[in-house]
Amino acid sequence: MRNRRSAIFLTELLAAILIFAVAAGVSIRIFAFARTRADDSRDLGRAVLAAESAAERWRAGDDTADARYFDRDWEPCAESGAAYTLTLAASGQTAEIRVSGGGETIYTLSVRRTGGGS
Amino acid sequence: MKHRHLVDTAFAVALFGLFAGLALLVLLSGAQAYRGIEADASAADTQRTCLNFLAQKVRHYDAVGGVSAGRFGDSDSLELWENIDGTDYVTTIYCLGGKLMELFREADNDLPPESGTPLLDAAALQVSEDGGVLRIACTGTDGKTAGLALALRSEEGAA
Repeated sequence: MRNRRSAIFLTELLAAILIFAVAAGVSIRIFAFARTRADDSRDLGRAVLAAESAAERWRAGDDTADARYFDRDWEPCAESGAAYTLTLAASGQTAEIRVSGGGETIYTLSVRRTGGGS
Repeated sequence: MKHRHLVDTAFAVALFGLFAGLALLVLLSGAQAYRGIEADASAADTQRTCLNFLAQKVRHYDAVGGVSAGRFGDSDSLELWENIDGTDYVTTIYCLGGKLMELFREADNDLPPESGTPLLDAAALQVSEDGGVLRIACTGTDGKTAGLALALRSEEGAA
């Protein structure tokens, strides 16, 4: 009788652990996904800021650099330590600004310089 | 028989311990992920709010002589000038005691930095102007800095 009760208890415990393990696996995947999305969101925000700044400098005729490099914390750095790259390809009165990192394009911005100012 | 009972109990306790340990691990990893994401989002929000606020202010006051970079107290400052009924007024935005502050005053009225209104958390503000481009950098309370360049419309043609 005691053996039977003990076996039932162990089966229950194992079933609970199994269910918990599945739930924990799903939760950890969700946490990892949330972290990735948060990092992507931060990168997009910083890429937009960097592209807008490059557009403003180009508009003012101040930016002659074709590329700018940023480290993992989005601080300007040399090409060798770059995690993100901003490239500005100007053609006459238009320019294409592209911010990329990890082999993927994060943000692109097309800008046009007009005679009147805007 | 007694020995087998002991093994059964030990096995059940070990399984329960494993269960409790895993539960704690998942809880801690969830808490850590939430804390990290929340801290990043909060810092990004503060920096974006700060930079967008300053950009909107610059756009609003962007007339000839309307925007300049300066010093106020121990901080770089953004100075926004306007003339109301023949009197010059200046709105100064600067950092003091971990806050971004705003002070509106008559141009020749020397008020101390403490007189300003706190707007949001910011550890430092850097403002410089060169060739019609205003560079603003805001350092958050986490020590991270985000910057923005703004071409002054009023300076176009002059640069």
